[in-house]
Amino acid sequence: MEQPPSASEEAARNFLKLIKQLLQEKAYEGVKMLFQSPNEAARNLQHLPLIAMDIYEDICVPSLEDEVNVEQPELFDCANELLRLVAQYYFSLEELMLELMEKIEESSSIAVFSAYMRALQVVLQRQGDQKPQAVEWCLQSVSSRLKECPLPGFLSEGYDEAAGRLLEQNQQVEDLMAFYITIDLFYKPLLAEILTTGASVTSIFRNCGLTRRNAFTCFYVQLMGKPLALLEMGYVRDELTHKYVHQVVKSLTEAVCSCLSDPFYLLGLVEQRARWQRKLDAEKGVYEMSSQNMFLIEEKMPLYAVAMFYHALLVGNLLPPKAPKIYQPLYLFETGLYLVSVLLEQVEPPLQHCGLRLLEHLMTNTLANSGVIVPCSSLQLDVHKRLCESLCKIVGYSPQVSLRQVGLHVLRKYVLAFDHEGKYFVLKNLIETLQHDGLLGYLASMYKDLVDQAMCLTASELPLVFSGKQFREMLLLCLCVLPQDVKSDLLLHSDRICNALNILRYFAIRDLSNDTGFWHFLPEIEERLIQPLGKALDFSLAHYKAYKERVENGQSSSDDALMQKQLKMLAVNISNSGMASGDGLDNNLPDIGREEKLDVLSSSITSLESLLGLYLRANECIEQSLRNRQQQQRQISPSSN
Amino acid sequence: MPEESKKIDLSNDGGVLKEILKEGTGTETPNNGSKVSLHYTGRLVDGTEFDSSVSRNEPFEFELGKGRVIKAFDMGVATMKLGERCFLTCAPNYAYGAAGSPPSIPPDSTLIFELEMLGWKGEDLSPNQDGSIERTILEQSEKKRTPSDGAFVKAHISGSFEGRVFEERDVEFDYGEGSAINLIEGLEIALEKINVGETSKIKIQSKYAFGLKGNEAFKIPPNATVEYTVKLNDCGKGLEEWKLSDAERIDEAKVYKEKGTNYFKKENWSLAIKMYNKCKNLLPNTADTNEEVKKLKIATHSNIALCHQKSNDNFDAKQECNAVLALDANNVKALYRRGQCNLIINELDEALDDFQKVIELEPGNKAAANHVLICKQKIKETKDKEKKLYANMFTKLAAHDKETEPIRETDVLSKCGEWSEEDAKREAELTLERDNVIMI
Repeated sequence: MEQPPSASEEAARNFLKLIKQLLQEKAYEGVKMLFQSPNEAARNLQHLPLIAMDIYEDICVPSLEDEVNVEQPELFDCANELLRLVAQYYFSLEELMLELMEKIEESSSIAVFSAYMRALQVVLQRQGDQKPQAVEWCLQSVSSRLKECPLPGFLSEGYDEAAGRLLEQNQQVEDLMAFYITIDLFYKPLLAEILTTGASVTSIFRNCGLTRRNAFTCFYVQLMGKPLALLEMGYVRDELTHKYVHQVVKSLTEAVCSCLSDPFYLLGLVEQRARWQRKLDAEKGVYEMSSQNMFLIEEKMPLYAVAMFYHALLVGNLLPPKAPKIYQPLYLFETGLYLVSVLLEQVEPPLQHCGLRLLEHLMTNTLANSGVIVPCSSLQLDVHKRLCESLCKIVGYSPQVSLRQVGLHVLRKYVLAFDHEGKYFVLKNLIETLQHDGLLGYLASMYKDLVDQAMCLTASELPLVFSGKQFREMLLLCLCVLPQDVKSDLLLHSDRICNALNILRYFAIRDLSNDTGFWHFLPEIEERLIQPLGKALDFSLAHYKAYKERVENGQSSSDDALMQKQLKMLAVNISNSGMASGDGLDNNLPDIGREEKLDVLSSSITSLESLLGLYLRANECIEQSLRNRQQQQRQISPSSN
Repeated sequence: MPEESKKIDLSNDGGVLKEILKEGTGTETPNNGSKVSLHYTGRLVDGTEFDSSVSRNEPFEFELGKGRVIKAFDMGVATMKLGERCFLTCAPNYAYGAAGSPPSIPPDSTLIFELEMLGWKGEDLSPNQDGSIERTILEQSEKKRTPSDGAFVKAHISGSFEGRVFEERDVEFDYGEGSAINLIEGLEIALEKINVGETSKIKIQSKYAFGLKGNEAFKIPPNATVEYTVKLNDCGKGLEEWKLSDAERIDEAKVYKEKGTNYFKKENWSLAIKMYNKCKNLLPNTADTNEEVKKLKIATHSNIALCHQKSNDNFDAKQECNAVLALDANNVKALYRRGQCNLIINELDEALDDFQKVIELEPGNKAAANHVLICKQKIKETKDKEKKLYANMFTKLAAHDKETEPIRETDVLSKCGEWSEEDAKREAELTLERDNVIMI
């Protein structure tokens, strides 16, 4: 048997009827008065726990729609205010949380999203430190909604500085920023509350399990990932205009810092996550999500988002003044490398850009400003290999010119950050493992410059890595650049050959006193570079000249395969310089006419001739220096006798 | 100089001086590698405070002796007892050196830290961070290399339970294959994070040690926590997959296949599967164009299937056979093995199909012919059983129907001619009940 309604229930029902009546009459101010006027509020608010559910279902849900927002904005605002009251008085927090989570994920516009976010804020404030799992789910639904925001395609493909400056003029980016700003308004009071309640906790060690504070920390870090991270390519240090992107990044960074207290705390966990893969084992209950330290779970705290946090903190100059200053710069550098690698390994150019900037900061500000030189022993960490691989991939093959340029600059700085031995091993490993011809040539000339520098300082006592056995190994690596001896494709490897000849000429002229041991190794170089290259140049020139003649006489069809190869090479160069359309290369290039063929052949012959010029010049230098050395020796020997 | 005499010279060159303000309790001090929690305040000699955990309202945590913090800090904290408070005076070469740390610390600064030790704990190396594997470093190493998968490891281990040493030996093995030399899992997990040259004490709870069974030979009871002291003498380089060309990958995969076969011969099925899986993962994705890769993949899946069969894991074995058959639909071995698995897991029709296909491909295959007979027999038996079962079921149901028929609700209707309100209500409630039953 149904109980007759009590007097208070009756009153509550009547009050609900009154609200509905007022809304029907569009007396929105009247509804407002019911809760805002002190006398009315005192009488009416007591009814809310009983009718909150009805207000939510009958008024809020149908009114908080885009259509209503456009056609009856006053009704929308009124429903928005009522929803906030519902959140304050609804008796079952869990039930309302579930409702709000669903509505937030489904929200079709920023207006609807922010209405439900306001309510969620109140609910989470009421929830306090209780049931952090529920809090985490709520925050998860906010992140999920954010990922649904449509983004302009160029964000994940990369954009240049000029486009970066105009980024926020794009409608979709503007809408996205509105979501972020709403979220910012949502978490600010909650954060303040977390920080005040957290202050009373006096445990010796940080609790890294699931707590409200940690759930929020993970949430902030997640927000620093995509899509926000894709907007940071246009970051310019000390820029005068303050973009919304930077304001949001700043606000999130500050939030993470205040939750962590020590902003470098997460760095200690980075190595644990990036260096050692957690071995999952169902038998022992080791799953992706089973770690008792929630900062170690990728889904809760994605490593690339952690990297973006440190990018903002260091590159964006957002380190709080109270941050600890007792960390070793080398530790910060080495741990930072894991994060840089993670960013460089991402497919989106904006994230790679952030990775490069972070690496540059680590080298310039963290190391160089503290006068720290990275010792060779640091290379025992595998992260260096990982970093070199991804960095060189960008420098050699990224379709973005600016990335390749910054990448090369950073690669150079990275090599120079080590001590002599470290520089040597990095260069040697790179030259041994890389395939990119231009990059190999660049690194070889870098080694030459390092030897030159060392010779200028202490020619007679060169470090071990710049003379003798180790110098020989490196010299042969730099100079022996004909992979198939005489049959090597000289045009394909022209960059490297050019560099090799320059290095050869340099040492022939510079090291007359044989401090490096260069002249001891000359016979080997003769055998492995000079002789085969001479022959290869003769063959190639003769071949191309004959080919050109056949084209001129219209008898070239048998050589078309070679021509295709040449054109492909040309096309690869074009795509590397960022001029390709982006569709990738066709395997079969269209047939070209006679004139074009002749052009290609002429340019090939010119390249070969310039190589030949360099080759002859290097030989001349060697001969001249040999004569000089003999002369010197003759001058020395009578006096020594 | 009574004031100076109170200062303890920690670096033996006057670079790090400690002055105790309040004695700590006990005699223990934290070992290297421990996670330490403390409060500190750093000041320049003129009294300017440049850094303080107190002002951040939270203790500072770091791993001791790992080069995380400036040298003087590592040295000083390592000598502190629980609850101790002290001043640490640090010369520039033990702090920020000639360069300082602009803007807060000028070049060549001597610093004074006030420290208060709050506590420390061993480093948690367990995969779930539940304290089941805990390390304390006894002897630090300057080297940074640690064993990675496949690296050759040389170590000295000594295991103890309640102070009694139960095993002490030198071990040499390929990382990832520790169980072949009876190395407990927890120790192998810990070794991954030990630097070459380091000696550490590892406390391992039973789930990563001898488990519920304990170990009779070592006199370890069930559910026992054991302690190992391990010195990592050397480790080679692990497999650097990213550097490998396709040809090198194939060569490496062959090595792992060989290892798998060795473990198979020793009847160590789990390690054999581990090695075969490594072999499989190393193979390049060129099975469709490269015949050698295809053959290796087929052989590996087939061997994994056999290992699973041997360890009575017929579902996994069937999956591996499916993988073989996806590459080579007429692979007799895989068909035969899958047939066996199907037979055991009672997928009799599928088993029959497999064995019949084997006979189709190899008409003289007697084993398959026998299995076809077994399958047919079993199918017949099952059908007979089912027949009996259903026959019984129908008889019973029929009997039941007869019994219940007189009380059916339709009788009420026939008697009354039409439903009364009460009847309707009862019917509605019954429907509701039925719905609930269905829902459950």
